[in-house]
Amino acid sequence: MRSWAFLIFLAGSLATAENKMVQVPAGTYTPFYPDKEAASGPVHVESFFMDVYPVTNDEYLQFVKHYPQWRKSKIKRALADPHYLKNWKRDLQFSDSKMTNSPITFVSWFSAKAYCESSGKTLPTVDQWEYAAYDNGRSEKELKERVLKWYSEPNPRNLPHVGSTEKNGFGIYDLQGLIWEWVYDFNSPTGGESGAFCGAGAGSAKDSRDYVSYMRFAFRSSLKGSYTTANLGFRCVKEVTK
Amino acid sequence: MLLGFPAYSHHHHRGQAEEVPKPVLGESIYNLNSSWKNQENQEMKLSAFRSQPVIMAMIYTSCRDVCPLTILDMQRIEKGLSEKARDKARFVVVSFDPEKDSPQKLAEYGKAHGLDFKKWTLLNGSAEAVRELAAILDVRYKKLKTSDFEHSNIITILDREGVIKYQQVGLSQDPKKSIDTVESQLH
Repeated sequence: MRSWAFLIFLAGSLATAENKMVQVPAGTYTPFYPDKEAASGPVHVESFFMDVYPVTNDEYLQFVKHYPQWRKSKIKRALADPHYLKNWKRDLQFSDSKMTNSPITFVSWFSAKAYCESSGKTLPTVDQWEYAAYDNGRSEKELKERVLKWYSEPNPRNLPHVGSTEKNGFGIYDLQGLIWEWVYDFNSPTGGESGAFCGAGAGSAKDSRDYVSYMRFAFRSSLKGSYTTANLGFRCVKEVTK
Repeated sequence: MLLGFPAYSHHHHRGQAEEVPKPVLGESIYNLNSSWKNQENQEMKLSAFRSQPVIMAMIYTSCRDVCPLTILDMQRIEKGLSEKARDKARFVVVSFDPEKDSPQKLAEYGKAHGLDFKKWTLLNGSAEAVRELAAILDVRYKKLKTSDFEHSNIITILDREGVIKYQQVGLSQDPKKSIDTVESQLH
């Protein structure tokens, strides 16, 4: 009897965890800022699991319940700036119940990374995120138009809940048009940062008309690890165990 | 794993009446709990440098380009310090390249540059530890397909609590501000 109960429990918890991730198959994409030294062709990305949705306020709440050092009142200033969880009323309470299933924002790279690690995941690398967002070029024109429109709009007072924007061909929602997302190697140099740099560096952008990507890369390169802001959240990835 | 606990929590488990050290300041980089190996293959935390002013930079030894200039820039700072400051200051060089820059490689590199290991420490850490440290120091870097690293050149001055006080950005800069910042830690 007990072993049945255990198996049902296990299946239930695995289903909850795995249902929220999708396996992105291995493939290639051409980076916006290709490596100048290597042949500037497509980059291969190994298969990985990616969160279907960005992390929500409610999910982050569960995290800080377990890990008090990441709470609003306890956070170390070196790991998050003074706006950390600004839109939460207190340590374990959002300021609005509508926020439950909307993406967590006002989180730093350090805190986002810690969240992912707490469930055996990591932040996506630039390559993983860009490859997932590129979506094998599906509906590329419509996607760019939609994101351009999103860029031009002011931040809504309450962010919509996750799953509000398009599901892409990989089955992933909200990669563009809901929030900006942290990546693991956000502090990787991109094009146009020569001067202070050792090493050959990146070449110029592959498509100078791709304003959407320009903005995204420019935004990322403006970030510091402790920064938090209104429309910056994250999701996690997990490697495929062989 | 960055689920760090405050530094003092480790001191309680033996049940001895040990003095509880002051907790690490919120702004300190010593809030990173990563483990590192120095050039003598000894495991250590960054907080081991607490109570000394620190001059810190990131390089990789197989860099044939400009990294040796970073060491020179740090040595310029060292030479410019008063005797008292030179006695207290610690120079920490962290490698971007955990694969190639083993503790032994770092020891060879240090010897080749004539570094005094009583004052200079070279560190090898996991790729994750390196990524975190670079993030907290605002250092940008990327491993290229050629196994070289593209990286910014920043020398960071930490106070005795590990808080960033000044950063010397770019190579061959005037070391005066860095020197003054270190000196001001010792009054």
